Amino acid sequence: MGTRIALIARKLRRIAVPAALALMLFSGTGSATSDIIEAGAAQNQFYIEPSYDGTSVVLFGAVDRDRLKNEPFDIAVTLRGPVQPVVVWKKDRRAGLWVNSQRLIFDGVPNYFAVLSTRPLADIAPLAERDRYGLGIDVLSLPIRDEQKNPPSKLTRSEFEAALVKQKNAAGLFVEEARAIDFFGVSLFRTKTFLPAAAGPGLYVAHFYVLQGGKVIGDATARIRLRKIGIEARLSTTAADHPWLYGVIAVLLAAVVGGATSYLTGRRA
Amino acid sequence: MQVYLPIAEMPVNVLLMLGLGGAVGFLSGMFGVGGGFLMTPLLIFAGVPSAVAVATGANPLIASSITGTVAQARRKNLDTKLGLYLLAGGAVGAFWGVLIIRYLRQIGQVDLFVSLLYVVFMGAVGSIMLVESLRALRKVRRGQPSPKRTGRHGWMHGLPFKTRFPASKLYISAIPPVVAGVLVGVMSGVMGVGGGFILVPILIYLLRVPTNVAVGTSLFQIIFVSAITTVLQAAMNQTVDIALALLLMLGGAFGAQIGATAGQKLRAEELRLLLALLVLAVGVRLGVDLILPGEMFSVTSES
Repeated sequence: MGTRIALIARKLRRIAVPAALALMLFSGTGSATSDIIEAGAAQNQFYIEPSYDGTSVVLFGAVDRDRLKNEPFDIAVTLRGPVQPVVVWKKDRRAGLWVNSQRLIFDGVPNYFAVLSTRPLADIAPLAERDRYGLGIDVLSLPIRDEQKNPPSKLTRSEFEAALVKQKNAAGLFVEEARAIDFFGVSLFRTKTFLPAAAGPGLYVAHFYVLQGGKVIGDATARIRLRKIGIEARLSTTAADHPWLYGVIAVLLAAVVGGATSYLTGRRA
Repeated sequence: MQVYLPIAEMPVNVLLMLGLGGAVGFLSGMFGVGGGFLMTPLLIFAGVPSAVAVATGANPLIASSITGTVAQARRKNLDTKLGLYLLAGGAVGAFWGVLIIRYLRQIGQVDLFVSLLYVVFMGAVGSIMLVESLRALRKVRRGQPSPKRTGRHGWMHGLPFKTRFPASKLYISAIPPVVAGVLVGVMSGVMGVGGGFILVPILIYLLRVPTNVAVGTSLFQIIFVSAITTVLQAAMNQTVDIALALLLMLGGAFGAQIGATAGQKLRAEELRLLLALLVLAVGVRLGVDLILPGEMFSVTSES
């Protein structure tokens, strides 16, 4: 029994900071037209250092119980990373060899996309509502580039989309998790997701939704920035801004290592 | 222990990369080839994006071929003049190679083209070396002395611009060395390899350079070809990862020492046989992938 109380105490301490922040949020906007949901991230800046190997992202929020009229409700949170173009190739057999033959360029694929919710998404809202708010990997909009020759048929497109989603799922970059929202007390909730190292630097946007009766009735937003610092930042900016200099440095570095090895082995021989 | 690579934008295991560099260095110390033909495929296998693997593969070769060249020069196994002729071709070839890989990436056929090159060259080179080294080994078993180089004149000796290469004891046209240099340079640019596994056989079997001198001279020209490739890749594709290269280099420096010691315990014919088997194995492995694909779809970030 005692350990159980200690556990709860520890849990409470862990949410103390978010709770305090949430209270500040409410007091800041505390007016008659207060939002039905308010939310934030426990940490807004993450840094990529040499030891970086992905990071946990903690998101929290609070709902206004009075305005929910004490009827059951659901929370869904999406976290979306910076978009980038992605090319999906399909192989075909030509002259006995498997060759890349058909491609589809997706223009705005988030490099990370997570949907965290209180219950399985299909139980929370009908497809049309989920589609409107991008609640679910299956309703994530994956626009393709306009200028492509021979616009692909719907069937081909879904085949390529499936391949893309499969790869992202396998890399832990597209995540869907039900029962991922922890409530503390009546209105305060917290959720956590893991950002793998393969999700690169950039701006990550979290959208929080409150749903009741299959409809979104309120939403909030939080932003998180992930960026390289120190040596990581210096190397990648040099590579991008002074590519020739960077190349020369790479060569000199190798020459020094090679020369030093020769010197050491020559002395020993 | 993990470290985040700034250009590849992924964490890698430090020990794995040191080990990978060490393994390639071991082979390079043993056989006198740069080992790039193994480096790039191994990096890709370890999950490094292929653009970064190809561009970064050449960088640690600079270090290992400097060490190798110095060691060979101490044993007087270096034909500087021949090396410079090879290099003249190599510089042009490396530039073409980098342009070719840029174009191939646009049309999406990098993987196919690089694999085909590996399969064709490694299959051919590996088979020739295998047959030759087995024949040589059989002769050694029968107690016959290994054949002396004869002054045979092939078609190559009819070409103009003849010049003398004293260190190799050759009097041949300047064209074959320059052409060989271009070929190796292109491969360096396209595949991120120094081209030693191609150049050494060309020097030995076609130009009839003594084996020891061929190894030393090949290493000498690989220093410069891989340096040019590294600068061009950094400038044009911006995909050279210095942090990754450094790990591979440090591993390679250790591996090369062990490899050189191991190499001295084997006969020249046995060394050639082992190298032939290794080259063939990599070639066959890549060939199998072309015929039996694992995955119908491939997903890449656009370059």
